Amino acid sequence: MEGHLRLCFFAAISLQDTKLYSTNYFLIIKINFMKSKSISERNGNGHSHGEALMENPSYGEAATSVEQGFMQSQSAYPELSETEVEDVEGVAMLRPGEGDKEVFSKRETESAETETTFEETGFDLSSPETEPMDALFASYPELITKRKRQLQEVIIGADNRVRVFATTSYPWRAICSLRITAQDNSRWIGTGWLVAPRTVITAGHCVFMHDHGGWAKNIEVIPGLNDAARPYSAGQSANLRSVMGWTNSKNRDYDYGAIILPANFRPGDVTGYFGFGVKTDPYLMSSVLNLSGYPGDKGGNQQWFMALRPKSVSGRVIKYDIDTFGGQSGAPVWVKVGSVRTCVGIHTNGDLSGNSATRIVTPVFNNIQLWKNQGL
Amino acid sequence: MEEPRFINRKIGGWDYQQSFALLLFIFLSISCNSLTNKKMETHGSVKGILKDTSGHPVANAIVMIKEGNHEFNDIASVSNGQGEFFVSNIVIPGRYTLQVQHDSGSFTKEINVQSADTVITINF
Repeated sequence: MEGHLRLCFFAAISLQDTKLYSTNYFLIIKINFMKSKSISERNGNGHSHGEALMENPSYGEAATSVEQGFMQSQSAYPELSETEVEDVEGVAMLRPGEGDKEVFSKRETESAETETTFEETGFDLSSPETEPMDALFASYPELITKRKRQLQEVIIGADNRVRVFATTSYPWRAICSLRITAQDNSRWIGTGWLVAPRTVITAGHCVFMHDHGGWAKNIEVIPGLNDAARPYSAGQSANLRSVMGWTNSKNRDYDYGAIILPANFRPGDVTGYFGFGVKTDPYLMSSVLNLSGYPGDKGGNQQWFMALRPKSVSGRVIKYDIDTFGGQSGAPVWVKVGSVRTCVGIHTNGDLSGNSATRIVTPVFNNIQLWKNQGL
Repeated sequence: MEEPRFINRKIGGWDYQQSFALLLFIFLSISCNSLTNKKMETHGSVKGILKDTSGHPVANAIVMIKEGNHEFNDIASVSNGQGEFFVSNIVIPGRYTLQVQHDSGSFTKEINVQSADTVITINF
């Protein structure tokens, strides 16, 4: 009876927080019962997972922590698969491990071996005497407050972004404006960043738009765009990559993708490119995050930058109060230590409770590395 | 010797299993009712049309969400020759503030999207 009541209570929590929008409530209830049972059954130490949820009443947060543990082997429930906790409306659940399964619009290059390192260095051609702004903030984070104070004197409201004029310097020149044409011919603007001579990483919703025909028809990539100046020319591609967690399930946690540029356009050879890596929660929470992209409210032709410490970190998402606007989807979120820049996230969403990036965790890292190899 | 009074664990003629089933049924009924009363949320895109004061379509304006009562993608739409733009992958119903950026200036407009069929008309 006690077990039944506990199950009943857990069902109540699941039901209240469920984001499934099907009209078949009984199906939802059945699914949630199955979930709770599955988790409880796997918890063999006598400590009820339902009790754990009571301590943390948000089902979403509990699910995230489970998933984080799966991804980074830090969980009390390491055997849970990541897809058990997906919360997707109207779409069939993926099988375990399929969320990060690569999908592509077309493949022109061969599939590469996936390595198992979790830090991929960038490539910088610039001279060391120039100290870019992100480096300054990373080395002396206390300056951010001072800088914010200065900026508030010249920028209306609480917008703390600063314009990047030196878009021919690294790392700014490795950041690209994206002009996206969807299958239905609707046009969009976004941001991307180079990880290889011709591989651009961006948000999944910049390469695959569910409500506009799926894979983008064409994306123009303009590295270092600065008003009318295109210092590294521009290239177009429809050779796109994402993962099933985004294309099939539209799950925010899997919102990332890539553009493989044609063989005759290799801007990364000249601009250099970003490194990327998997970082722990404490590392991220103690780091200054840098974010730069092409916001639409500034016309979409100018690069704007801001840096701040994160607000929160969960299994798949990094939240921050860095000011962003439409057009910055796909922008790099990176940390800098010395001369090493490591992207840790891909900016995707805006929200009053905090803007956010898809976090680079091990499966994301592996896919970016795979896509990087396809653009060498 | 007196027999145990609740040897069959009955309450008012119901055993525990029946009681539990009844409780569960009541709980589910209440839960379903509260869900029914709550408006169903979904994700979708809505179309908008941008016009100038003369009623002519405004092309090449950038339209994006400035803020909303739900999370949204940080992508921006560019209006076409008919002044059409889209607000993509938003939670419906929801309230959002759009920002329109054009060579001739910028402004914001609050929208209340109740269904994916909504067509937003903005007079620039």
